[in-house]
Amino acid sequence: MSGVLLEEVTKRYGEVVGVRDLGLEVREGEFLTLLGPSGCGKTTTLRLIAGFLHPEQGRILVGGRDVTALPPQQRGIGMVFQDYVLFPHLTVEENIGFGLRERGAPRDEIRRRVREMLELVRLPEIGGRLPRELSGGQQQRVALARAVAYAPRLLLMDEPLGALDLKLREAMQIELHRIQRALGMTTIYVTHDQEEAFSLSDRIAVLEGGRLIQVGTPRELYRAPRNQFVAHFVGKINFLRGTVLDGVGPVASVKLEDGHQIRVRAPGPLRPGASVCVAVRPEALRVWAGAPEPQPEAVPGLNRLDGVLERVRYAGNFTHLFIRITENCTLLAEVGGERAELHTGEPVRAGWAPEDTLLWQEGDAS
Amino acid sequence: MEPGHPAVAALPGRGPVKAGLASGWDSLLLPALGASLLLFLLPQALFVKNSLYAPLGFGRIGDELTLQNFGRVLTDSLFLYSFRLTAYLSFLVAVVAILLGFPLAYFIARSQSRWRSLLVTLLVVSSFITVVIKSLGLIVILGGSGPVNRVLVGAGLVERPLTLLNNQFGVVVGLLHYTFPLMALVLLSVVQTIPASLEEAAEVMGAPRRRVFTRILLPLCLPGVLAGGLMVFNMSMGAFTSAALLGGGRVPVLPILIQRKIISEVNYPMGATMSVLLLVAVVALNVLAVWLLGRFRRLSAGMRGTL
Amino acid sequence: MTTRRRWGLAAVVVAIYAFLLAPFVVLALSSLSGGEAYYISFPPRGLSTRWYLAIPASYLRSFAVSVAIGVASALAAGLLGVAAALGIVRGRYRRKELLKAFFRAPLQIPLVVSGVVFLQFYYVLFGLTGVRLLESFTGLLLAHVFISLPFVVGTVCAVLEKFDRRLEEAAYSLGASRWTTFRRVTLPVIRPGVFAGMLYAFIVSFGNVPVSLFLVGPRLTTLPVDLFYSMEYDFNPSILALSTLVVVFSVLTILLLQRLMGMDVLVRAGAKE
Repeated sequence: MSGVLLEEVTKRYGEVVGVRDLGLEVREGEFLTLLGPSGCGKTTTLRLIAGFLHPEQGRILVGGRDVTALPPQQRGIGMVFQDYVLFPHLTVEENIGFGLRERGAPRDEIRRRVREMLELVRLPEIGGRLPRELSGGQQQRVALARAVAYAPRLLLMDEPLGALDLKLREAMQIELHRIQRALGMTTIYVTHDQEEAFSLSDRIAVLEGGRLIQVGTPRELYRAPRNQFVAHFVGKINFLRGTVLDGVGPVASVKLEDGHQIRVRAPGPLRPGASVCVAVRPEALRVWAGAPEPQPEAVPGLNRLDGVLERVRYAGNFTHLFIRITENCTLLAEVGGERAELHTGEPVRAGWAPEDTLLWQEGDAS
Repeated sequence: MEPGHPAVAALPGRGPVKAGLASGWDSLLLPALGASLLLFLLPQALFVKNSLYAPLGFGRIGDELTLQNFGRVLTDSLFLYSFRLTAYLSFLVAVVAILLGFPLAYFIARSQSRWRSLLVTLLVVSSFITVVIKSLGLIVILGGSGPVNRVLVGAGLVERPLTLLNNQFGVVVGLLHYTFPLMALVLLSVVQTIPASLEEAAEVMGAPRRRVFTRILLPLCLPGVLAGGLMVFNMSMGAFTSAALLGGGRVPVLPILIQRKIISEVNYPMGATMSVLLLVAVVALNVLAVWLLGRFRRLSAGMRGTL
Repeated sequence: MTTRRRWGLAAVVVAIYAFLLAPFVVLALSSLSGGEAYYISFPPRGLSTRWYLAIPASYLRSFAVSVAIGVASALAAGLLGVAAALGIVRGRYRRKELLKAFFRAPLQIPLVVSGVVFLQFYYVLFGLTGVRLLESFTGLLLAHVFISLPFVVGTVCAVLEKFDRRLEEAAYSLGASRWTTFRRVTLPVIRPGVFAGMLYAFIVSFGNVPVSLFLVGPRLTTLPVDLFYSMEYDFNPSILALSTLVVVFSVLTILLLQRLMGMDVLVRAGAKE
């Protein structure tokens, strides 16, 4: 077993807390991403696992072994750094062979393994070059080859694609995924890019302010975000505030701040009068031109809000509609294809099903 | 220095902006170039020429060009000893400055900002204070009844006070104090260009600290370290003040020999001859060092293909 | 394990700083000694400012000369050096490296040699034209500008080469003239390098002995040369007092510059080349 286990790990920088009481399990062979805005503690967590930082409290286990007190050299980890950090005075081959050489591998073995790695990252021709003679994408691949050449049981990656442009980043995501699957190496990946996290990860751990907020598959995070922060960070979402009118059944009634009444799937019994935050994903909204009475009734129980179409943003395979409901409430709807019948400045109606609504009680941060 | 375009200049109105921009910058070089030629090449030429006249004593010089001064200096055993001594002491100081300066520069480069600015300020302050005053302080410290000897005698480590002044040890300490702050600042700027993440990358791949030093830090810093060492060597070869004060006249390095020839003996041609030889030696050593460094780099680049 | 190594390194650092700073501390303490004797006593016997009151006026005069020469060299080297650096980096010269090497050359000349060179130059000049530069302010200044110019050219070239010329293009696009652009965009950006170079020009000039030694005389002398001769020939404890005052002056100057220009200037000053 070569998973990773963090037990109640705390790391402070003077007064500032880097991470607090962090408990996390990474399964063997899993691709887990630490996701969050800058300063959330994701890089601190990675550096704790790598051994560059040591926690004040808690334990870190890699492959069942307690490595909390071990220096990085003895942890048997591979790491891909932000900006690659290739050794500028060593050739590509020497860079890739570095870890094997430190492990005392025989020369032939190093040579064979380096060639293998270059094949793996599809750069068989560049072994003799220096890092400065490579393009950004090539440096990235070499950095990856270097990190996995000595077959570490755990691979850490710290925003490895951050310095690449969009097209290259997408291509590299596919490459990374392929290589990680091919090697079956347990991988912990750090990024602030939600889309990148979704396209690569088996599971994602969302951090904020040094705390772990939620761990789950991309689907779980998107469908059932634990709080507003996760909901907001993972994909686009509309937030609405209101108070509970009736919270007994599986579907609660909520009165919005502007007086509209909507129906919401309730996670449990709700106290009437409690303030709540409800949210709905843009793609769950349906939009009709004008205010045609019969259609919404065709789907019974649909919530609906009337407003004015403020702006249409056409994006090819989908269209974003900005619908102004009140002075300080605009809904974003994402609809498929082109909606020629909708015109800016005209009244529209938005509707969505109660079961597509998320609800959190205010003051209930976790 | 390209001439301006008369055709363009003669046109009424504004000339092409691009040409105007570049030629404006060209002429800015002229004052400094003129001053340097006047203060550098002309005096140097006069001075080299001076070494080619025979001294007639009492400051008077002969009027025929001759190489006899060089012959006399190069067979003078005191000069030859002095030359070897100066080179040896300068080399020693450069090596010690590297050995002490590198850990210090590394410590400062990798330390947190508050400490860092204090440590750098202290280096700058130390380099700011004239070498005369530094030497005076060192004389107090190293003297027979100075604090160092008091501690050594008091602790029973030595029976009688050690002679730390008016000998080579004193001169080395003085030269070190003179050159070290600059050396540390140069090395700091070198280490700063090496990101700490390079060391981390090596560590995580299993390299112990010793190997991180020999495989990453040292090769990357080597050119800067050697350049700094060369700077210290150059400064020491020409250093007069600390050698005079801390050597007490008993460590006859070349700068002291030259000063005596000129000020005490008023023998300009011989002083000039020694100066020319010192200059030639320093320049030659610098050229040699730069050449060796370039060769070393090319060699290590060439070896890459075979590995 | 790693912490033990860190402490080991820290101990080395403390020892180095003790070595670097001890002379100044010891000087300051000895200068306050109340002893009668004309020798140095450390630790001081009783506290007294008598040696401060006994500083001869001639020292104060040479101190003034040194400050004046230092400031004048820094200004002259600053002007010449900035212009030269602009010419080298911005001009259309093809052998830029050669030009830079030419301006760096004085750094490689042993200072004693430079002193002898200027002595002979002035001697010959006097014989040819009757212009007397030995023992004159102008003569000292010329020699000091010569030894301090490389520092300004070096630092300013370095910042100019890193200068992003799109900043100037942006200024032109906003309608600024060449002069306005230089004054309000270029100069502020390269200023740290200029100040750093001038600071070093001042330091090099202010503390110099081996060049000044040959060019001064009884009528005009600099403080370092004055101190040097006193230490060699007629030591008396008021030198300690004077030296302490110079150290205090130097530290205050550094602190003032740091306040005015920011820390990075000083770091850059040290890190030239």
